[in-house]
Amino acid sequence: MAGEHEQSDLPGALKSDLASIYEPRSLQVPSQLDDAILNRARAKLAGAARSRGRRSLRWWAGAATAAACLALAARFTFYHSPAPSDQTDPTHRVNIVDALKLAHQIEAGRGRDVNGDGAIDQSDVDTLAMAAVSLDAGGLQ
Amino acid sequence: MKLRRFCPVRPLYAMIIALIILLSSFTIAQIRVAEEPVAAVHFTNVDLVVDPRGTPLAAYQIEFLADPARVTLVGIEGGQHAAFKQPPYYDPKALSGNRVILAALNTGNDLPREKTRIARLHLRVTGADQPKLSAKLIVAASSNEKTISADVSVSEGAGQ
Repeated sequence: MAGEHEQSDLPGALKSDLASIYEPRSLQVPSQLDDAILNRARAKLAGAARSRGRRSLRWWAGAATAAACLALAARFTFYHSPAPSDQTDPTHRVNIVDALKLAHQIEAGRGRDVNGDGAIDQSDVDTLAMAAVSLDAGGLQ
Repeated sequence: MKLRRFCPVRPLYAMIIALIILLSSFTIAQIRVAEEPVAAVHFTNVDLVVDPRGTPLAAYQIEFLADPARVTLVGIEGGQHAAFKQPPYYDPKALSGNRVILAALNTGNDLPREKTRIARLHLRVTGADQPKLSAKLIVAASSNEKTISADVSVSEGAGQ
């Protein structure tokens, strides 16, 4: 209360001077300055977005390369692996004795359709025998 | 940085020198080819013989191998015994090669028990010397489908 009393006792000129110094005023920012700041901010944001895009592209390229390398490595590692076989001895390669057995079975009215032509006959024996003499590595198993 | 001016004379010299080297290499190669003696080529045949040691031979499978540098397989005939008179099974790709797998079977009762010619191979041989030939038994079986021991040999064919 004492402050208010003292303030009210100030002379009018001093009061107006003090008011002109300490009174809050609205700051007038020029519109050019405002636009310049806005443009700079936009440019910076756009640059950051491009940089993120480039980083993302590099990451995807690296991931794709790594995946391709893994796929190639797997291909070369497992390429020579023997195919699964439902036979009891997967290492057994067909030989002429298998053809002889089939010929005996066919003579006895049994046998199996080896070449898938729907008939059990001499051509099935021939198929087995030809597989036995094939020069290609592997042959029928 | 000082740039060198293009000089059209240098590439011309280089081309002339390259042309001279090329022509001289052709000439040298032709002289060498002319100096090499032409290797004599002849056709022959060999017999593959199997001895089943007294057991009836119902099936066999044999691999024949010849010197790849000098021998080319050109034909395959059947054997001596009635059971293996027909030409054996073989991969047609073997013809014009130096390696073949031969196989045959017979389900009858008239089977060879002694040493017998099971196939005759016709060969194209380069050079006068006897080429290196070999045969290996892969499997042989009797009429009861059991594998048997047998001896295989390559002998000079008839009409040599």
